[in-house]
Amino acid sequence: MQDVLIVESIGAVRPWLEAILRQIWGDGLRISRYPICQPVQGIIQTHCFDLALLDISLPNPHGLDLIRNIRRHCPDAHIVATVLLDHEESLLQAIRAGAHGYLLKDTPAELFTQELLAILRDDPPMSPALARRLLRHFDPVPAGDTGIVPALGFKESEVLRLIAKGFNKQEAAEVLGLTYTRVAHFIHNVYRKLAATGLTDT
Amino acid sequence: MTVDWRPLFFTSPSIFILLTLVVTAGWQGVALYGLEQQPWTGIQTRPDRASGHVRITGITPGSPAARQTTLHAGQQLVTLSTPTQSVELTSDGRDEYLSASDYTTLDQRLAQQTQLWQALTNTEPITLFTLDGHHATLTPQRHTPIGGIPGYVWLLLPLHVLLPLVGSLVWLYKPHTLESTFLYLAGVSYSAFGAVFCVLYQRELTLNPEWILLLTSLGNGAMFLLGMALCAILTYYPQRVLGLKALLAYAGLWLGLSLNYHFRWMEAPLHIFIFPFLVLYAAMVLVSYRQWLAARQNPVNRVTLMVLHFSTQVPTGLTILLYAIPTTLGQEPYITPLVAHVFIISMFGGWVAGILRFRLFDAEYWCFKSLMWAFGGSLVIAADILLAGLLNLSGTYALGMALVVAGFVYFPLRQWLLGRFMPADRQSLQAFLPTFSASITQAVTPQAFEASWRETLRERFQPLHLEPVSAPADEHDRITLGDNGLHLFIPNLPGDQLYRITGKHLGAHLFGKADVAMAESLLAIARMVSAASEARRQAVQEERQRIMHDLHDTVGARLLTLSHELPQPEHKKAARETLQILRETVKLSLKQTPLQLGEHLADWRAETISRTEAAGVSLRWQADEALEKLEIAPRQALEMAHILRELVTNALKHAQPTRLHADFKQAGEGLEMAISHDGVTAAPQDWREGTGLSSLRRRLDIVQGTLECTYQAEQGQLRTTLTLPLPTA
Repeated sequence: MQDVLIVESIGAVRPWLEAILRQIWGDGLRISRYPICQPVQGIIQTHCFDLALLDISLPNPHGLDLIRNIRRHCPDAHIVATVLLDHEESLLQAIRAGAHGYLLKDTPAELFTQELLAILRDDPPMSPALARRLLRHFDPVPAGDTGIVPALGFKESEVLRLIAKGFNKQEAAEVLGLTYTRVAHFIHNVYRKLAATGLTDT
Repeated sequence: MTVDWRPLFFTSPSIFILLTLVVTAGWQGVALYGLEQQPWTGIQTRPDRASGHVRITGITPGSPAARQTTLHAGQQLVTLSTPTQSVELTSDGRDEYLSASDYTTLDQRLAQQTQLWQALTNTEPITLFTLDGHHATLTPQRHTPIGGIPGYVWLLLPLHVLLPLVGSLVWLYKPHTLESTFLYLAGVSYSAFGAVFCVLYQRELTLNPEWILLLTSLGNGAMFLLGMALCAILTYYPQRVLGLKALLAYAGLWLGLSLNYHFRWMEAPLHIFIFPFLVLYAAMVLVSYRQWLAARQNPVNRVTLMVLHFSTQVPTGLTILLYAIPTTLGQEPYITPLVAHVFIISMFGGWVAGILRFRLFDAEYWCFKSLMWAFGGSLVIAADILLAGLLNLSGTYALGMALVVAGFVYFPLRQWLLGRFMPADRQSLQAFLPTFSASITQAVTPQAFEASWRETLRERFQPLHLEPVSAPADEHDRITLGDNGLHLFIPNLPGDQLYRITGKHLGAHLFGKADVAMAESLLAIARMVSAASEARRQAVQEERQRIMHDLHDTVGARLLTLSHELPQPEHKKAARETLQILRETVKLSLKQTPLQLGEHLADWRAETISRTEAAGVSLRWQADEALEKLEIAPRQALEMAHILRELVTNALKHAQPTRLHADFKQAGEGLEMAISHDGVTAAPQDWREGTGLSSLRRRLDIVQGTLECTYQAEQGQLRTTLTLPLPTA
């Protein structure tokens, strides 16, 4: 990890994020901080970051558009949506745009670090509310909707169902007789499926 | 029910119809031959009861009477003389022979006809004496020319062919069923009776007496066959209420009665023709009653039965009232036997409709209306007969009075009957609107509107069942009748599904056109109300979402900034907690559907497990399945989340437990939450009422909950039990 992008609207959060990142990867880390999306649009045409922490509530251009652009220009970059309100509707949009995970900005620093590293290990977060929303999203397509939604695998939906009931990943793994890593992998797959269909959105 | 008659009716449809035509037309041909064989005077006559003689109703132009005499319509003929004999012309003698009540009377009439026949056939001129003192002499022609046969015979004869023809079409449409077979038989036998009736009724002065005797027996047999066929239809249709052996009994009865009339083995009491009919009628009443019982809860069969009865009883009732009663009372009947004949023919229309189940959904209302119409007319006539007979009023006065009396009785009675037999149909849309709007305006969500729409349909039509059914998309927005009015298909409010309601008024009636119109009006109103409410709800929702997002972005950002910039750790913590509550509040207010307790339990579990796991405490979480679908108010969800968080915080912070147990179950109408844990705790009596507990109580007061703490010394456990009432759905 060498090159990180932070786009964050709340002034106090930017240094806080920077401190966390430096704590993980040391002072040699190159960090670019922006309060708005606009200047970043040009930069990513020519420059790729390893990790982007993006405030998706930003307007003009919208944080979601920035996720899509980074995803398009830098397919290898890790994109994490930072949110103050983890409303499942906006999280779904962020994941469909290509985010690899999301983090609450008010999470205590220690937990924030753990969750960020988990996302980078392809172990993204999944709240019960988000799991319920995703199960509805992957439900058989109602008549008239032309969008193609790929089906969830059996294990993937089993995992989502348990998470939706309030189980954590470790408990879900025990119930299903799987390892933690497998459960994390299934959730990561769900993210990938969402991003694959979201790419066609504009 | 289906019986295979193929071996009997081997024919193709066209040959079957042709055969029917040939046979029945043959009978009409025989009738014409009979009329043609009588001696021709050209004098058309009817019995005249007032004078006891025979009245002239017309003189055929070009006939011997027209050429040789000055006789005219309206004169009464008293005597017919030839140089060798003289015969009195009586009304009884001219009457139809089926009206003879015993064999003695029948024989007397026949003896008179024999004298007349001899007088008319010995080629001598005859002299007719009239009641007004005139006489006329003429020589009858030996045979009646075709042109001498009265005009309406030509109208009646094709009608007699029509009935069996319709019967055969019904049979072809519903082949191999007992009901259509017997309808066909009824048509054929009536056609035979009609032919006989034509000859006997349209004769001038007399026929060959041997023929009269034979034709009377034949007509009688045909009428009995008709009665038996109708009896058989009612026995096996719409439901089979007797076994097939009953057919043998009917056939035996028919043969017995017909042969007995002809061979005079036994004289029937009261009336030799009417009494056997009473026997058949009693059988018909008996099977009808069994049919009525069997058709309970089956509106289609009930209405079929109604149509059959209606079409039988109205014509027969009218015939009895307008013809039989006045004749018995010695008055001139209101209708000629010819009109009575037409009434009986009209009966077939109803029987065909009943058997083919033609537009049954309209039949009920139509039957009721016609019945009332017939009743109204009959009331005037009955009152007229009574007033004229009892008070000896003159014709005009009696009729006027009868109209007044009938008017006073008829209209209130009609309203009363309508209310009694069709209570809901009488209720107009305006009368139903208050009930309807009371139920539909209480709804807020689309689900509630849909539920209230179903409730409205149940209330208005009181069906046996109401069930959603799948249907092609293009039929989702139409209200249609199904299965002859057994079902009514009605769209739901969004118009993407159909409801099928079955059996109006708990299966007592069929749905009709009026119900379709009523449902259309109700649907239009319900959709209007629902759409208006939905538009308002969405506007409110959008506005709330916008406010909530704004609030969150501004206040949330400020709280987060504070949590970073405030110097004191407890202030930072307070800012974070406030931010969390703000987030939960906003998320709750963004929800569009009613809050399900199951979803909140899942959220609470996820939060609790992450905290206990981080603290190294094992969690046992139990939640009653029954709670899943219960509704919880937003405020309650918010407070419960906070209370649970506080209890877990307290336990983890102060007691250093090894395990924590959360138990949720339904307690009456409410929710019970119990949190227990081990670890270092003091018994509740030793507690000081601190800020933690009092803030808990304050929160509980808001949602009207109760709190109880118990210390279970033997298990070393502290148990906190909370109960709160849930909103009733």
